[in-house]
Amino acid sequence: MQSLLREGLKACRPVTLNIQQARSVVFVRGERVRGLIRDPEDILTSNGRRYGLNDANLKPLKQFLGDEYKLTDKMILQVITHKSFAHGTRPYNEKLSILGEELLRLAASKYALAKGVVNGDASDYKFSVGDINFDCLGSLTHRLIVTNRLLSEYAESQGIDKVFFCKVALPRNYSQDQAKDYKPKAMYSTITSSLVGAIAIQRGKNTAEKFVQEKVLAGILPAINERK
Amino acid sequence: MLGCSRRLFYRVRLSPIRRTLSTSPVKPNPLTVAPARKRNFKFSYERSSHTIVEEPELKVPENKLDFANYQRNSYKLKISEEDAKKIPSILTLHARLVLSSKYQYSTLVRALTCQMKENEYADNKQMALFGANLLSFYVTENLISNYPRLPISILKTATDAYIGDFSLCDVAQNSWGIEQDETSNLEKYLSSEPKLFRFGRLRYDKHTTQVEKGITKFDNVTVTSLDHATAFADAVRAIVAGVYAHDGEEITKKFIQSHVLSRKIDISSMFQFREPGKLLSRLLRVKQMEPPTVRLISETGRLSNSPIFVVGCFSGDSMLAGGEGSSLKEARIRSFVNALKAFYLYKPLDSKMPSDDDFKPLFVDEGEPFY
Repeated sequence: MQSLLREGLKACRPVTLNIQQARSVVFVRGERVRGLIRDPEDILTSNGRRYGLNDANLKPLKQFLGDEYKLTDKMILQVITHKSFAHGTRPYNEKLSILGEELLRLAASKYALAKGVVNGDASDYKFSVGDINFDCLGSLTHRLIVTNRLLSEYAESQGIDKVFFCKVALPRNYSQDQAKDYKPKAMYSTITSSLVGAIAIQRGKNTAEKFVQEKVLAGILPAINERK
Repeated sequence: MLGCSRRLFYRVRLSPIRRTLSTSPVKPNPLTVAPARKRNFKFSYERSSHTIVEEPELKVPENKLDFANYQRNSYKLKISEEDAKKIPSILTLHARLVLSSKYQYSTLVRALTCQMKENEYADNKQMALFGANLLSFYVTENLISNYPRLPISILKTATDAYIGDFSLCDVAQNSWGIEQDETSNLEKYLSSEPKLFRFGRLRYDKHTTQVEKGITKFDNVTVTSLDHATAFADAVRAIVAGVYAHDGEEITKKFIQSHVLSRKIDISSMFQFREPGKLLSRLLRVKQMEPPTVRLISETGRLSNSPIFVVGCFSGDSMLAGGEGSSLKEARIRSFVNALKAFYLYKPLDSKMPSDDDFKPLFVDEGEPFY
């Protein structure tokens, strides 16, 4: 009887199993597929380049700035990140570009007015105000200096738009292969303008104005001359 | 009977066709690239620094980059310094603004002359453009260094509150006492006022004519006509540009600080949050902080008709802001709004502007996309 009970208890004894649960999630990369989860890494890649604070990403802008207009690495990364990148979750350049654009516009006007100074003798031109001839302001050439088109072309000519983190909305007739060549000027002009803003914020207005005079205007004005 | 059924048949058959043929009452604008002339800016301070002066009124030299030799075709006459000194209102304005002795009286006369039809005197159009550039840079710089976390829309609204047309019109009329030239030539003759004195008042082509008291006719919209606020604001901008021309940029900066930036604007009231709780939890997630929790701190009169609840909005152990209200829900929402405002209106102690001599690198806003 007892042996029977022992056998029965043995049979009832719970069997311990080592079950490890593993959840396998399949992420989808590239184009959106309905019902599948996108790889979170996907939004951190722009034009095949992974977002991050590393030398490969910062090199073009660092080389361009040199030691004279040196910026911190974090700031450089912010300059080359547009608001559209990674749903705006990474530090982006919008406010820098607003300050930069204001400074560019002021510096462009000051440049034009400095050209119009009548060498300390106001009698040369009757309508100058305290040796300054204001008549060139608002002209097509003056207005062209700070435009999205020329600022983005400048960024391209200096090679500082090689690394730019943004998410471009492609027009309908564009294929994914053409995406690399599609550079909306409103977006790419923020590289130049935010660079000016970043120099102003980190090194002061005088340095930023010197940068505009020596580097930006020196690149943009010949481009205006060619367009005549 | 037969006719009635046929009419009904047609109405039934044709209605889907009619529906497809009918156009929407609000037809969307065609997508075209707007030329520079048609660009619409939301704020008047942006409009003022994008003024256009084009070729029929501008003599452009052969080399377009030769900015020294641009000339306005309409300019033929100029009020001389000796004549300007005879105008009482110009002398008063010069003294009231505490302008330096280098600042010429004739510059003030020019600043009060807007571009007009058949006007041969030098006008303030391009001076106002440069003044707008100076004003918008110094105001933006001031706001960005004092409130580094302001969302872009609030930053622009605050800039407009400082240097928009209506604010500068207020400065011109109520602080500086500039008056517009309203009397006719006959009235001037009858009051035996010298002709020269009209140059001491703001002269511009008006959009409107005052038919009689209480009736304004909008009948005079031309290329040169301006509305009241824009004309006064342009005069202020031109006076600022005059300070730059006579005294240099450092004095201009002080002038802007004492006359424009010294005015009080309430940035806090410019915020409007539609869903403050949602916004705050998103913000905390981006800043890698714990999600917000609201805890009741004190209450009184829960069972009365005028209870008051005081709550605190916490992220982890740190309290972000407090809020009070006559219901728990109201107190909670107020605490969210206060927490958001505390974040956006963060003001560094002893902030320095990029244009200051003893400038130190600024706090750099990283931006967040929700507001």
